[in-house]
Amino acid sequence: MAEARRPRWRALYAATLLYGVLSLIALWVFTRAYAI
Amino acid sequence: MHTIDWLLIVVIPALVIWDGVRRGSQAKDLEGFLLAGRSVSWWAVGLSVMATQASAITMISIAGHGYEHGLRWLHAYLALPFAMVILCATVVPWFSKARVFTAYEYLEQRFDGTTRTLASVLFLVSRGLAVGTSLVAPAIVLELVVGIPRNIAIVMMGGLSAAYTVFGGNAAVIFTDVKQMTVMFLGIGVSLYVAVAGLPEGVSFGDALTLAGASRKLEAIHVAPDVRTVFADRYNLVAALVGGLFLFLGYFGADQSQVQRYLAGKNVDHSRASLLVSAFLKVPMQFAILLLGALIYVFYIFAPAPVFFRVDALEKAIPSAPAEVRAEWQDLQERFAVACAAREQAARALLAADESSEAQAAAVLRERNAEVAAIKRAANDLHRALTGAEGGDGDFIFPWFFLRELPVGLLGLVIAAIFVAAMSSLDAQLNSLATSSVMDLWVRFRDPPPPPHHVLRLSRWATFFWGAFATVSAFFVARLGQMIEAVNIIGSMFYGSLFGVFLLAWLCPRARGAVGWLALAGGFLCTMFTHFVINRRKVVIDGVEQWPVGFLWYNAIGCVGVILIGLLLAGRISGPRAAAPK
Repeated sequence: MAEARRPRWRALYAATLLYGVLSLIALWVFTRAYAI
Repeated sequence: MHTIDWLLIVVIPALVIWDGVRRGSQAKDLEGFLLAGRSVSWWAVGLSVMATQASAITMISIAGHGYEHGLRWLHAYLALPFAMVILCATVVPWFSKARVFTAYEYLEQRFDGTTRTLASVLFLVSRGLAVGTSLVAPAIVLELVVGIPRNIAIVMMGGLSAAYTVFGGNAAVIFTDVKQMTVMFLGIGVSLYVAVAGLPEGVSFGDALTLAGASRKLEAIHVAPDVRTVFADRYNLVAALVGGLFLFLGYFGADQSQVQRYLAGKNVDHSRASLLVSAFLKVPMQFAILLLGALIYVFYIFAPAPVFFRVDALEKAIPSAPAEVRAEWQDLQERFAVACAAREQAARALLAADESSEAQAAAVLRERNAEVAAIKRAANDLHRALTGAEGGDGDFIFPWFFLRELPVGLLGLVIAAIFVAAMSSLDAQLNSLATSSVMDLWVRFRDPPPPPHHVLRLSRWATFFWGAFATVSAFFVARLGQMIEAVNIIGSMFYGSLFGVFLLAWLCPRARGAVGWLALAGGFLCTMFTHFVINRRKVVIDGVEQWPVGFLWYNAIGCVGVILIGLLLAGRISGPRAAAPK
């Protein structure tokens, strides 16, 4: 059961890490966009 | 204030408290009281984890921070998704498998009883020092809104939170937190809407962002220009990612007030998923609150604002002050009115500027901002000299805004949101302080183990004791700058070392017995040395006095200190492996 669930968790972890990286990029773009 | 607002302020917290007390039926045995019978779904635990971290300070102090410094505080949360994944893969399954009541109980299984005791004491001291701050922020609001003395407000809030936590235990904490988080989301949304809708005609949301951006309020990412600044500046990307990572690993992985939330999950998957709720929602939520502060700043470019947001206290002290002080106050107010008018003019000029003149118009706006800020600083000095009160007016900005700008009904909702936010943070702290003090410092030393109904009764009394302690300590909370920073500085001094000992357990199988507590004590001393010796003298960066080592780094220093000392001692000291916990 736990073995079967493992790939799902791996995908969720990868999605969370990707979300973290994308948040960083989005905020960097936001910062640049409004810097005059 | 309108009757509808009063009704909301009374009814919303009353419903939450009633629900908490009602949960007492689920807290009949020890596991039911301390861990809600390990039966709660991931979404409820996830919202409770968020509510535990988000106190009333979150709304009041962070919105004030957004007004004064823009989005830079967001740095502190950027590491959260990364920390949560690490925790989901490590401590969550460890705790779940070990079937522990407290995080520190796991340390006894892995190292020895002394390590458990020391970790528990460090937790109780750090949490005990910060617990009072949860009550101060809403008490300020009560004082401003209805004139109830701050200390009486503190007693009311502390008493109510303690009451439903004593009856309902962890189930009450979690399910009241769910409602509290919902009210808080509503409060943030409503405030954002009012700040945007209140902008003058001809100034759009986009214009507001332009003005905030030109005033350096939208710098969500700040990269330090050199190595010295990386360590000293509290707000830069590297410090945030490294220091913040360790802060969150420590807070969510080794602070019982959070561990006890996800130990209540139905199984390990529910516990893991609950942490990922924060990983996804926390950054947008903090962004919304900080943006609210930045929008309030733009709002007051066009609307009249006081020289100092704690003007009530200042105006009380002014009549009895010497004539020259009264004249100075009069002069400050006049200069402030002139400076604000000039700033508004500069803002309108920027909005009318074309691409070629935009940069110059933005520079003029920043100059006008600096003039306004200088007058505000002088008012702050005057306030400190007259009243002896420390700290600026940051925590008073958001209350000033909503008391004057929110329409009937919404004002009541936002004040209710602040009250319930205070309770949602305090209840979890009381519940965890009680659990750790009873399970780690009393039950562990009893031979034979006391019967569960005794432990349950003592846990309720311990919750009551910590409620009283939180209330009394709130009277004495020193204002180290804004409260949100004070809480994080205290936490940073402890969390790194606490998490370090869990990490040591994973990284070094040979580290056993006394190595645990020796490494923990050593790591903690490293943090203390940094704070009290290295940071005794400040350095000046960009005209601002800063500690040579910013507080977010304390987390990394404590954690790395524990691991290095642990690796050094592992195999050299062979303490007996502890017996299984009782």
